[in-house]
Amino acid sequence: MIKLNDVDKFIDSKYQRTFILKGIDLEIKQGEFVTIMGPSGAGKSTVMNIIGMLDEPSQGEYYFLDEPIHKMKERKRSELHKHHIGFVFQAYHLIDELTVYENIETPLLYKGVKSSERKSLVAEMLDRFQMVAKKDLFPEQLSGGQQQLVGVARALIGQPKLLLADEPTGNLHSDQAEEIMKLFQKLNSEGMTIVQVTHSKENAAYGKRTINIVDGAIDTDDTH
Amino acid sequence: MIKNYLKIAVRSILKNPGYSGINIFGLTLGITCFLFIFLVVQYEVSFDRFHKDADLIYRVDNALKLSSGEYKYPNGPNGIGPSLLTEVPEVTGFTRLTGNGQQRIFEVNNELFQTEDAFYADSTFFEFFDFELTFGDRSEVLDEPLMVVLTENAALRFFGKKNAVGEILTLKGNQDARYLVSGIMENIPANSHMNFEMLLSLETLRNPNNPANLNSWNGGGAFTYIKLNSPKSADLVYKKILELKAKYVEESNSIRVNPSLIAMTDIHLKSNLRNEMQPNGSMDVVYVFSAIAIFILLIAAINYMNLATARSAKRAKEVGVRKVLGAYKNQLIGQFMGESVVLVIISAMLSIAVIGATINLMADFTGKALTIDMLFQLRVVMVLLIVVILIGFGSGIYPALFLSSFKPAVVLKGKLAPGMNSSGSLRKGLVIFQFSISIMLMIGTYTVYNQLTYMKNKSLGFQKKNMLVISNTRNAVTPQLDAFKNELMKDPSIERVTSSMSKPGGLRPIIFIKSETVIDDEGNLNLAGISTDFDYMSTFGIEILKGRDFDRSIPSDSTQSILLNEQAARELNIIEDPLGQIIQISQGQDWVNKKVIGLVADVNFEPLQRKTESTMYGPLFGSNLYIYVKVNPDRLAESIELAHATWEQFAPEIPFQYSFLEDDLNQLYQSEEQLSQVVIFFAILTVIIACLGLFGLASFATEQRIKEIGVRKVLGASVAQVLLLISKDFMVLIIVAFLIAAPAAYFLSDWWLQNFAFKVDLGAFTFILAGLGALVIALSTISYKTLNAARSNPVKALRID
Repeated sequence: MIKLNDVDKFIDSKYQRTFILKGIDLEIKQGEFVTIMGPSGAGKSTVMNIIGMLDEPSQGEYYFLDEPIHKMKERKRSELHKHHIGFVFQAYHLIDELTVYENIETPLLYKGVKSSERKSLVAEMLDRFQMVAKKDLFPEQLSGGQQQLVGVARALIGQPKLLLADEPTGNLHSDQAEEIMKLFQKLNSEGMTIVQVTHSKENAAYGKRTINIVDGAIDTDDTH
Repeated sequence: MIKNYLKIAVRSILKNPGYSGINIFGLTLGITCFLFIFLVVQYEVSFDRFHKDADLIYRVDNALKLSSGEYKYPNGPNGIGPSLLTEVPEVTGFTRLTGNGQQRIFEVNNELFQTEDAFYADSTFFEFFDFELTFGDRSEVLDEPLMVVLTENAALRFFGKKNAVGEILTLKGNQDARYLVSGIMENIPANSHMNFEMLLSLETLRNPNNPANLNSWNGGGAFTYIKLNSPKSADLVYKKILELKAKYVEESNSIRVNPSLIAMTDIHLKSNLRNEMQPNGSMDVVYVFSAIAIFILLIAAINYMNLATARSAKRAKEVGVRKVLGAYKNQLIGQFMGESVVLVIISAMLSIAVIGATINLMADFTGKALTIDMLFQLRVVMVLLIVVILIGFGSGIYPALFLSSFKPAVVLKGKLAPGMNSSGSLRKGLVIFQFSISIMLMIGTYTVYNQLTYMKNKSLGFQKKNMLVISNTRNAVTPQLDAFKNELMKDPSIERVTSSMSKPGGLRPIIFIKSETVIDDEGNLNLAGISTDFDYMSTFGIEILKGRDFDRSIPSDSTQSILLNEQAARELNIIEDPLGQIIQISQGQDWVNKKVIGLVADVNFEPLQRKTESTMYGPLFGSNLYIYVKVNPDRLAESIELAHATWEQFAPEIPFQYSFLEDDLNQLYQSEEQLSQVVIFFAILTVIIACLGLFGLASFATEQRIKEIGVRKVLGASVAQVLLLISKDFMVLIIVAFLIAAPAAYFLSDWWLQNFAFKVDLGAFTFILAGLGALVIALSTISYKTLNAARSNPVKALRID
């Protein structure tokens, strides 16, 4: 599903080139649950952003569903990302001005889904996450765990093939974190491909494969 | 999708009441000012256009070409109209008004009324112009002698009813004349350059023995209006008028007849001659107002741009999330534009409400007849629509492009994109622009104010305080003038009494003279003549520099003595030795010798826009239309009472009418006064709007640097140091703005002051004051927010992270 071939990411300044990633080769198959770990500044998030098409590699090839992303125009890439990838963030990143319902609905608006279909999809999602009663609340009226649930619901509403989670439990209490991780495990068992970045070994244990990145390169890659 | 944008727009407006408040308040203020000024300008350019043939109608002005310059009048010889109609095929019609500015007294059912607003009009008047007649037939109301058409207001005033047709109005005079009311016209629209309350039939003045008396090119003072077959014929007609002049005007009269044409629709804004029917407007004012309107709108729009981009840090996260969720850049641009359009629409609606509520106040304030229905003219609605679109999209586009270009991977990490802090260079430029305009307006306003104060307070060289002016209508008490004066002088509250034919600030006759001391005389040597009584100089306190004042005990002083002012003596080359010089003055066909008995100081009887005229004083005409009474200021009421009673005793048949000279003179500066008030008003608003923006920017700057402020305070910075830290950036902008504004303001002020012969100096003080004023205003605006931050407990600020 995902194939990175010798990917570099660097920043050029006047006298030197600083590498953030160097020579990353990575393949992730459909249905995997991958955890990326590593110390701060090692390049975990950059790998995520490249996979999620929010950032471009400076060099190297990226194939997503066998399509060459590194050769694509921005609009095409955006189209691909919109239809196949869902994001979950550490800081939830819900839109403050929108209600729970509207936050979940937003990706559908950008996908151009019809109103009636939107309604039933969002209703289904609210039901599945047991948040029907909270649908008219604004993010600030929810606890962190609830906000992250909305974040996950929003990531899933577009029926993506890949879920990217950048430290999804970083801002949560441990019992809330456990709830989210169990949810991920369940999603994975239903066939969703998941890539998460985390510092927590406990969280990594929920996945099937752990990749360690150190200084912009893959240090270890274990399947368990 | 649009629904979603609107929802977000409305919620984001409601969620940030401070930010939205500043924006809506600023935009509302800006749009209100703009719209309001637009209405004023619309009103000013709408003058006389209600006549169907407005574009074809021209007025024939006339000029006297004299040694001292050209004196242009809106009225001229009677014969121009009739000759043009018969001899110039391009002229399809004419009509004349004559005999204005005289005090007339009418009697209605034994009651006396006074009016200055009466004209004699040609029988064609109502077919020529489109004033509505409520009673009477257009072609017949003025076609016989002794007919009169009243405006509705005049009918109410004289007869207490609108339909006064068939009533009799008696004009008092040596021989009373009974005029039949033949028609009633609607009141003259406020946007007409004409002003009268009745039209008497010009046929009345036709001399049965000499029917051509109304057709002379060598006399009369008729306002002549002609209608052309096409506006393009104006130049041709003008040439033909000059040919006709050569044919009809006597050689000796040539300097008095110099006709020219002015389009009727230009009269209100471009003609400001002596003897206009009413004070006209001015194109300069229209330009100044339009410029102010556009500036205010720009400043308000810039506020929005600045605040929206300064706030971008807060919106950055939303942009990032939306992009991650699949939004295209265009969709985001649409969303942010939507927000600015919603804000502008809200502001525009508020503006309409504000104008609706204050239109009467504003009409009083500007002295323009603005009405609420002007707001609903198609043109006004269109302009409002254009403003909404221009401001909505124009001020929305930059923030929209700026915001929508954020990279989600960057902003979602909480980093600030370049330019997101308060120091964006475009934003700096815009603040400089705003304050340049504000400072320019401040300097301009101060200049106008200064000049006005100067004109009001400048010593004019004569006494204007506590001077009662009694209108000696129809020379009612002139035959018993000495007795009248003596009667008044009996009372100790009356200090002095004199009389004259003219009034300071009013018209003075031009008198042609000959003098042996002027050699290259081209036959047009002249002086302004002030026909005076004894005690004139002492009552007005005019200084006698050489020789003596008029003396009752010297008989020749009542007939052939004159005084000259310095300007006149200089012009006649007799400034060194004026006494005893003989000057010949033209009286009718004759030249009469006058002897100079004294030299008096130059005084400014005319408004200070004009230079001091060369003037001669003396018993020139034996007509004394104004009686001046110098009264004791402590006993004003008694003096007026006394003057009234004395008047009743001497001229019971004529109403007592008085004014104070100082008020009359201040009237001369009314248009400047009104201009200055309006400019001051809008200058203040401009500064307020600019400060609103600055306030918003300072708030954001403070918010963004709250951590820095906290750290500095922990390290021991004082409140003043923190204040300086934030203010310094803005102060630099204000100083740059001042450097740009000062020269521009200098040129503009200098240009405006060219209108005045006597003017204030554009001192450095004005500029320093405006510069410091702007700094102080800006500083206090910034300090409000910054002080709070500087005073707050740093621990709070640092805990946020």
